[in-house]
Amino acid sequence: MKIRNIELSGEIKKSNIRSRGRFRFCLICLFLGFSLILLKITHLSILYNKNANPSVVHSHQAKNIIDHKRADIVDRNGELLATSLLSYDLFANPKLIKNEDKSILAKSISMILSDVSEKEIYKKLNINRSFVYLKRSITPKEFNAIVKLKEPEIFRLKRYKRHYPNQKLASHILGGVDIDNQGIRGIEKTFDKILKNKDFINQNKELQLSIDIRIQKILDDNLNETINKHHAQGGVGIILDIKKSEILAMNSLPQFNPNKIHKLSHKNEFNMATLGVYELGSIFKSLTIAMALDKNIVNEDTIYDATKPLKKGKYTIHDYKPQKRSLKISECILYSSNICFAQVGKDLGEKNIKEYLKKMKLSNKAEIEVPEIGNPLLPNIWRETNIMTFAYGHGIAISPLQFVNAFTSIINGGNFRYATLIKEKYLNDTTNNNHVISKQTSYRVRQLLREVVSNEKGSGDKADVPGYFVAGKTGTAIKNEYNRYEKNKNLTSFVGFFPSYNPDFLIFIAVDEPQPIKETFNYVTGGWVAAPTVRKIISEMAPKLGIMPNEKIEKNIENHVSLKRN
Amino acid sequence: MILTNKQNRILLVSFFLFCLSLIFVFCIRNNLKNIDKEIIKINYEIDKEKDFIKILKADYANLVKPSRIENIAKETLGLDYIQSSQIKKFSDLKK
Repeated sequence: MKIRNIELSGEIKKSNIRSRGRFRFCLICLFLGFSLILLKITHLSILYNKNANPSVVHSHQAKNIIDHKRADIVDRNGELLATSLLSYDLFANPKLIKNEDKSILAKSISMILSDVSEKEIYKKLNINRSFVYLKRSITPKEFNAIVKLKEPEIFRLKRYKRHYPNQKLASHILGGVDIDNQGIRGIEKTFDKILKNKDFINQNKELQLSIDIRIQKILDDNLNETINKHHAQGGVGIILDIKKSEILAMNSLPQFNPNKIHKLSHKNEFNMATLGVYELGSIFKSLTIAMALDKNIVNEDTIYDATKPLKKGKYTIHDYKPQKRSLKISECILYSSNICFAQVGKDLGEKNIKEYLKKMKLSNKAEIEVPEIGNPLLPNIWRETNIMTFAYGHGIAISPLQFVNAFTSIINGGNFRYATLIKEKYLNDTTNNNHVISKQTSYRVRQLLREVVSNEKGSGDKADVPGYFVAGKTGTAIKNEYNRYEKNKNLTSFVGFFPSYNPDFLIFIAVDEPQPIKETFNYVTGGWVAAPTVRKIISEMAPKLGIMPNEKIEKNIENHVSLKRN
Repeated sequence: MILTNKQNRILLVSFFLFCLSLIFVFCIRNNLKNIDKEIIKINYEIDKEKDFIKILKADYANLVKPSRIENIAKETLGLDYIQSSQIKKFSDLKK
């Protein structure tokens, strides 16, 4: 062995070999040590940072803000119905505020926050806690004024507040949220998890409803006008796109302002359209006729005796406008004869009625995307009187939505589908196994119902809009309160659709307890109260939806719109 | 003396390279830290802008809400809803 040309030997040589070994060993240890440090640094700086969520870095307060955020809700045209806006809550730490400052502070704050009293603020400032809300949702202007008071123990907390730009409009559909942004009613409650889902929010997704806010406004205005004109207790309206089974507008009056959900009253929080169940009266005859025609129990020319009121035990069945003669079934529906329909019901029988009730889903709760859904009330035992009264819409209480679902199934070609509040829910749904009546029966029912509106003797002639071929049925039901029929309390209704030869839209209107007025010659029937409302709605909504009137109809559809050929 | 050995030289060079890579990793780490800070800042800005957009959207919804448009049209232009009776098809008009 040589080092710098010096020959080593013996003990020195051995020692030199050992020292070199030690040196190499140290280098390897250093190398391994640094490798470990390098690995750790790589892990910390690359892997750890990659997984780090910026929100983790933020404070607890920031995390809370994200948790309270909700996705937007829009209508079928993308118009904003509900959104979350950044808002500020004012809070204080009373423990650290000097006692001598509290009264002056309370006075100053109450002057800035006009709707909170000095007494209230002073009371809050004297609570023995380190966190007290002085006011939820203050404006930046109010906060800037409070900052000028130079009190270090008053702070603001950011949070998201739900805002409904259309105020009361569609409130029963949208529902509302509580102070912590949790859905408590309507769509907000049903889709609470989705609306709060962070991925859904971060992807800027919106919940798109089937309603059209323009149509909702038209419905709201006209229903309100009718209620005010007749000094009624309330009203219900539903507008449906028949082909898509999508609800374009749904209203229950009185309604509430979801921006002020804390001011809910028992009356305005009640959704008559989905939660309320009512005996709907004569509009039910449209369902009865569909059942009877479908079972071949009657045809358009079947004659029933309506010469005198029908007596059944202690009950007497009257007609509102007695014709005092025998009537064809087409006339029975035209004049809305209870006497005729009681006999049709009897002919139809319990078994058939139950079969169709099941098919039309009238014996179960309706299905829709709001949690407020009413249970139908059906007779426990179907006596003959129950069967007879059922035929003209008494003795069975269902929600307006349930009726709309059933009615749609008899005019759309005979298929049942639940109405929805979600846009394009049934877009890819081609299977339809819920067959209620035949296509031919549906066509015949449409003809009969067109006659109710087009014939000047028909009870629904006031719903006609030239060029739109409106068809429908009126209803005037005596209200049943505490198992007693109140003769002076009515629920008047009209269910209409257009065009009768190929229905696109359905409009249901019900007015609760309308009062007699001179303009309608003191009549409080569906034909005088609800039918004109439907006419107004159609004439306003059709141009909005770009539906042109058809004054000249083709010969092949002429038969669809008139029974005169008979 | 030690450096004259070829193996030792390789070891020292690799140690030198290792130190260089260490400095490089530190630089990357530092850079990442800055990028992270930037990301947090940008995300905060994005959230702020999103909130601002939401306010603008709500404002817009408030401006175009049907009741407001109807009132303005009535008050300033004297216009009302178009009624179906005001619409005719060309084919329905008599020549």
